[in-house]
Amino acid sequence: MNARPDVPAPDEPAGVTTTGPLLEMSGLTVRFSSPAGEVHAVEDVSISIARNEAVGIVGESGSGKTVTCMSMMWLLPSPPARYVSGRINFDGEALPRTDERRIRRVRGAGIGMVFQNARLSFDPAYRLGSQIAEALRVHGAGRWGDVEGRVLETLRYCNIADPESVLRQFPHEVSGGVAQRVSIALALLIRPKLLIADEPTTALDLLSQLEVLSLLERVRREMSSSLVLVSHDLNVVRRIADRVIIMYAGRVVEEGPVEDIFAHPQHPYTQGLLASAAQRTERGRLYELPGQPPDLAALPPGCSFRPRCARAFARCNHMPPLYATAPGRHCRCFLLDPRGADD
Amino acid sequence: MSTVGAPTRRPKLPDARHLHPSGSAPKSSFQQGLASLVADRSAMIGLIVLLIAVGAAIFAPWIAPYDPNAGEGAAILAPPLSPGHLLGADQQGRDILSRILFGARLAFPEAMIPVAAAAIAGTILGLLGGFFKGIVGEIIMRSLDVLFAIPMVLLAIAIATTLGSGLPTVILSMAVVITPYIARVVATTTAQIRSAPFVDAARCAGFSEWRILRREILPHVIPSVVVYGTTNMGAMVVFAAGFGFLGLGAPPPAADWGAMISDGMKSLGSAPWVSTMPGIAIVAVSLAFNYLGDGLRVALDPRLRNRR
Amino acid sequence: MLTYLAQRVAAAVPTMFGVSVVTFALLHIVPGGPVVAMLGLAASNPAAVAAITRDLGLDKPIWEQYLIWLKRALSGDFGMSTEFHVPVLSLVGPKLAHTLLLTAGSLVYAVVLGTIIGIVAAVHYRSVFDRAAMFVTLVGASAPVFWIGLLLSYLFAIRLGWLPAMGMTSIIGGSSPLIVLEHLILPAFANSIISMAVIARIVRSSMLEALVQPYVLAARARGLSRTRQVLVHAFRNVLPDAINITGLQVGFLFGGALIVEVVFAWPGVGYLIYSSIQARDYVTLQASVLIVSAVFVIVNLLADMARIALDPREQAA
Repeated sequence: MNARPDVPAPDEPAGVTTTGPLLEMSGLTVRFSSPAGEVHAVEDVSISIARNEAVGIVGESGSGKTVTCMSMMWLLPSPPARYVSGRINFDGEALPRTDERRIRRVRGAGIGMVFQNARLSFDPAYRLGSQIAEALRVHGAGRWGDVEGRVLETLRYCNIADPESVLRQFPHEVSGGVAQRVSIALALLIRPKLLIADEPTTALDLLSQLEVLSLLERVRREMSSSLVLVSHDLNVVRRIADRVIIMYAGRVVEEGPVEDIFAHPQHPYTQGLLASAAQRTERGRLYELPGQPPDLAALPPGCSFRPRCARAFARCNHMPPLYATAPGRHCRCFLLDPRGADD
Repeated sequence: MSTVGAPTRRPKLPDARHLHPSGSAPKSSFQQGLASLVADRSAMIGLIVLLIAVGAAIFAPWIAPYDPNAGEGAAILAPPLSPGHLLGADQQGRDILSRILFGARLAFPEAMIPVAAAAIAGTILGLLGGFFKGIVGEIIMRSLDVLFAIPMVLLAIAIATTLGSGLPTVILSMAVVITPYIARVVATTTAQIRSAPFVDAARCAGFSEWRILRREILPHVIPSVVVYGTTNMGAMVVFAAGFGFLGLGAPPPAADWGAMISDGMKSLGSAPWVSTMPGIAIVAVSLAFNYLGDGLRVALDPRLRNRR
Repeated sequence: MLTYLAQRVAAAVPTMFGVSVVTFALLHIVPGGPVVAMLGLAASNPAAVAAITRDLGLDKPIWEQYLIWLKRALSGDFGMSTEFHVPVLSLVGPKLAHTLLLTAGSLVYAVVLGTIIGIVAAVHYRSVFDRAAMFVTLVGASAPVFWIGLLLSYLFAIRLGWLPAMGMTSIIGGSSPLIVLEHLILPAFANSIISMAVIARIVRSSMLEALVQPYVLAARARGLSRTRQVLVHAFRNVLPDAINITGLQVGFLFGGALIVEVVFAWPGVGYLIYSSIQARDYVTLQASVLIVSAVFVIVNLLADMARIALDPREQAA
């Protein structure tokens, strides 16, 4: 087992606040213009991530989970994306979308990100080593000679055998699993306080999936950074996350501690997700959520889940608010209205 | 409604209307192409400009304010917007607007006839060169290579010079020079299709090689030739003007756009409009052809159509 | 790579043979035949006619005439210019160098400006600059090269007096490299416009594809500046396409130079051909066509080889 790299990061600002949430995102609304109309990718989403916390964001494709987590560092290029509203506080300070310089420093150093297809997240024209060196240089590292040791150490920590040789490879010359681990290593090298992993295992074979997941678990335990794990796979999230946020059609529909959600799902969508994940049979058939997610350019009025909900009723013609059903527990469904479900 | 005595009607066959989401039957490929072309604003503007230009060419004798060859001493080098001379006059006092209108009568044939001739010759050569693998094909393709080796401009000029200047020479030279390009396009397509299953099927059915060439391969080749011809028509107009510029086109006092530009060189400093105006005409027609050709290219290719 | 080179050279040989046949034929399709072409007005002089018939072997079968002509051509004897009365080769040689200089200058303009325009247009997709640049380049590419040359000449040389309008050297300044460069600016720019437009379009469309690739977004996520994303990453991946299209433009620029020379009286082969057309100097014309074609083939071959050598994808193949 490789020891965790214990070398101080090059760009650590002094005197940071260590209380309060690490990341606070409030009221994020993102839309895209498309030939079919304006796509409401994310609508009024607020997320709070505490220090040293692992949060899972779950949803089908199109639920807005990727746009949400990319927006944590204002990553999406602004045409074609349109940031209608949203405020971000990171590490105690406001992070306005207009402050280019601060955002660039936060990207990579404050918040690191790992993408779904790791091989594609590297430039095919340059060797992996030079891309790692480039990222380090941007964040204040010195000459390669000074950082080489730390780089190799981090690569070994990520279970990459023969890191010297991997550094010399081009992205298409390594396997998907190795690329993903290099990607995580690169993120770690810049010592982020928050690591976002967007579907890190989806493009991998089963064995590599397990390897990457256990690496993320180790990172989570040993590096005291927060983790946001985005996935459509509930089982993956269950392993790692402390808290889960369920998204549907661009909104948060349920959130809470992970075991609570799995034991007592409140939103019909969550229940459906869990049912199909556990593959409980209903009348001898595999359970599957009926219907399709809605067209985000032409959302029907009212609760977005209504067309697929077996328990919808008259009131569902309106968009339910996010009810607080218990401390730390929210659900966007009229069924959970504390004053009673009916109108 | 009484049907007594009415002729029996054939039962209407069910159509696919109910299957199509928008509720109407899917359009044919031709209709889709046409719709795509009409929706392309630049292509439509190009088409309108061309129609105006062709109209100007046809009706020049009636709409031109002056005789293009009649020089008026008082109007020598008159600037644009002078009374009676909207675009000015040249060093012989001839009205530039009239000369441009009459010049259109040379410009269009000079561009279109060579392309048409080259299309025919090029298609024949390309079919033969692409289809017959043996010596015949080789000889044809190698000969085309020779024509490719000489810069287009040079070859055309050389031919035109040795044969003497004039409209027929220009047309012939251009046709000779463009033929290899069309032949290459045709040969490539032919070579691709030559080994397709439906060609083999035709052979098995006992059809002669000539018939296969004519009935199976030719129809596939024609669209490529049409697209190539139309997209390059703008360049042909420019190319033809080059001949006039070098003095190889229709002899003076013909109102050849290229020759007009060359004439204006002598008085460039004092009267730049003499060279500028005919050039604007060339650019306008060439641009219009380019936009229209571009639109046609997208309209005829289903893959490009959907990407818009 | 070497085998490919050998193949291309080998293929060029029969092509050049064909070219020589075509050029040889030119002299014979002149109305009146080679006698008139060579002698002009003196064709009525029986002694001159007899001399030339002996010299060129005009009484022999045509294929023998061709061989005589070819043999002479290969040893550098292209005959005497009927206009300048000097051996044609001595006339063409230096002019060829001037034309190549003009071609090189045009290439520099086309590549540098075309690439910059393409990158900026892609980065500012659908902006005013993008639309304007694409429109202007299209107009430039639709216009006759000689007309653009004239306009530039009028604007910058006559009107503003910033640059010289004609020739390659000036009477006052002499023929120092700086003077030549000054004279090169306008004609090279005029010649480059069409190629510049083509390169700008291709670079732009390749950049548009590259800029939406995941690795560009990932670079952004790592905190890299926009400049770095665009130049170091996106453009680096566009380079093979850019080099490819540039290689294809070289031959075209060479051909274009021939015309531009006429507008600017640039003393190159194009201008020589133009004056021999005016003077009905068929001997020079024929030899020029042959020599220029040979150079054209060589230039295209070299450009092709450079293109393949620089393209990392082809190297791997």
